[in-house]
Amino acid sequence: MNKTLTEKLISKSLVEGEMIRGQRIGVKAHQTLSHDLNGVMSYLVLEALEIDRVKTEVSVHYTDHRFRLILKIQTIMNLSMA
Amino acid sequence: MTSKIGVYASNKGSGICHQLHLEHWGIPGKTLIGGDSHTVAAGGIGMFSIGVGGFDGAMTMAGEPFYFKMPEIINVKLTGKLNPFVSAKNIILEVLRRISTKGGVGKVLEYSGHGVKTLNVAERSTITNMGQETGATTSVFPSDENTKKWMKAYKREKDWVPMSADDGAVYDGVIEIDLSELEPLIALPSQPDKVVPVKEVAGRKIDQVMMGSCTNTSLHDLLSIANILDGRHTNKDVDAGLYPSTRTVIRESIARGAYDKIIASGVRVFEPVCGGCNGCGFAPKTNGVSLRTTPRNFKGRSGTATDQVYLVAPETAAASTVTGVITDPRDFKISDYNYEMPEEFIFDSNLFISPSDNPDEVVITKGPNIRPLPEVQPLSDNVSGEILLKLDDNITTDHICPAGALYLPIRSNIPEMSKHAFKVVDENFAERANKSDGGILVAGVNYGQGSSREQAAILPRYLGVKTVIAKDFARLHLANMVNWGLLPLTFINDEDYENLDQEDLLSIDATELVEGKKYTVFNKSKNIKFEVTSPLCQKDLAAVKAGGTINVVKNKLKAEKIDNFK
Repeated sequence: MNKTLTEKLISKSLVEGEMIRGQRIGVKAHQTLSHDLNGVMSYLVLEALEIDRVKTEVSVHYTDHRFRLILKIQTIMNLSMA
Repeated sequence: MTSKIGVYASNKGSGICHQLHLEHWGIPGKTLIGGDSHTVAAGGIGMFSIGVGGFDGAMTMAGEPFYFKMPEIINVKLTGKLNPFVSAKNIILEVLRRISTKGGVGKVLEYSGHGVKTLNVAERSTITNMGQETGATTSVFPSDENTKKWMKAYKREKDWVPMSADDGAVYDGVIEIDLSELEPLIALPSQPDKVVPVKEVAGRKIDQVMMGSCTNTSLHDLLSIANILDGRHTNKDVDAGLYPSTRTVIRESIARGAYDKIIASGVRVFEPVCGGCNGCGFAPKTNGVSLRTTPRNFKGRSGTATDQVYLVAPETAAASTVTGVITDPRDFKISDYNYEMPEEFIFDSNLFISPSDNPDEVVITKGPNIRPLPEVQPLSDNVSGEILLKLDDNITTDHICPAGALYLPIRSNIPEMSKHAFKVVDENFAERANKSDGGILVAGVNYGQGSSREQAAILPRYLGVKTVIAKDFARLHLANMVNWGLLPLTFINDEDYENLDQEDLLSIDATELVEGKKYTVFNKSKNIKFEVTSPLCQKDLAAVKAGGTINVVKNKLKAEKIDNFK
């Protein structure tokens, strides 16, 4: 069958289910991305799971969000005063 | 921790994650799962990319599958070529104008057509990034010669593979856009789909301009901004700022004199972080009108509750910076410039820290407000306890786990944070929960609405709450309850809610949790019975019984380790 690009991409990482619209499917990530705001929870979970090595081809963690946490707190304080 | 478990970490100041990933890691054909909604930016390089929450992010790093419903696939056919001063941002604004912020739900937006060939990877990524605002699962562009050129410029040509749809592929819908007919567009406050032509609102006075963000600061964008600001000054009533995307983009702009032109015009330049886009700095003044090249303009996101944020392309932002009013950049009567992507971008070897070769020697240190997650015990066969709280309808995750300046820093410290659970509803909740040795919460409709924050499920469970009986639950929160082993139950007859009072002692037999099964709840205090059921599927019920998905995966990984050892 002639496939869409999306179907070709999903088929490369599909590990559970069939590519039937609306059906639950499971894909395995080749790569992951995390950052300093939402990533804290991710790494706490990995710690709780006692993971000693990530199971991906590449995982990258970025520091770009909470870099300015102090400013964020000031911002929220301004908000509550407004 | 990244170093110990094999994760590459960006150096502070390297740049914004989505653009950095596109520059240095993205590979066509691969699947990327990221703990940020704009992870979908990677669709621009031909990746299948999905944004998830912190818990699911961890699961995928642990090698577990990410589950979702197979989406419908919508073909967005691009024809023609963009006119001068009408950049790629206007394409995604046009998509939003047509299908709204709900139009993409359960769908993938798949771009094709001759128009695609006129767009470089960064332009495509502006479109896939902001495609998130349509609610789409993700957006994808094919991988072609332009993709190859991009990867070659970052010395990654060997990872390039071509990817595209087969001729005659079957789609669930088609959207056709002629690029040559597009004009500068603008999203009005405070939804990204309230899109009209810039000329319709031209002349409106503005207070602030924010250029940059993950959506709109490729080198192309910066050079275009510099071209407009060259030799001009920011309007005296406008506070203009630029958040560049990556160090490479900054260095390339400096090498071409573009950075100097932007700074000389009076624009404030920030470091390459998410900053102003998610309200961490550069908040507009009270009632301030802010023109932004970011992907979102939800009320208050800028950090000011009364903000009026408009979303535009970089050219419209730059032109308006000079005039002080919303301005169609085509009215500026300056010559367009032609962007040619460099054959090779400046190579920077200090952007990432590689994981350690000797992970056993890496010692993890944590600040006082990051504590290990508590262990959750499997659910007992008999779930009994007093009703610790009888809650109204629409209890939000903010009620459960308070937000705000006082609480943000301790959010990753569950024992400390638990002291504040439900504080806005009942000052003494945590204290009573601690004393009661397991309790039950009763609520009306839509329990757990609001954010996807995990803590809203962890906190009650940590305090010994085993189940929440509600009229119904918010969908996102249900997933978190499963992850952390908190049993959701719904009334068979909603009227039974009226017969319950705080401090009533309830008892439920939870020995066998079966999908669709009715459970009898015995109210010992009033000597009455009523029936409940759970909205969860069998797999999720099994997870709750085990003390949450976290325990299921933990047990599975342990079993695998033992197998490997044998």
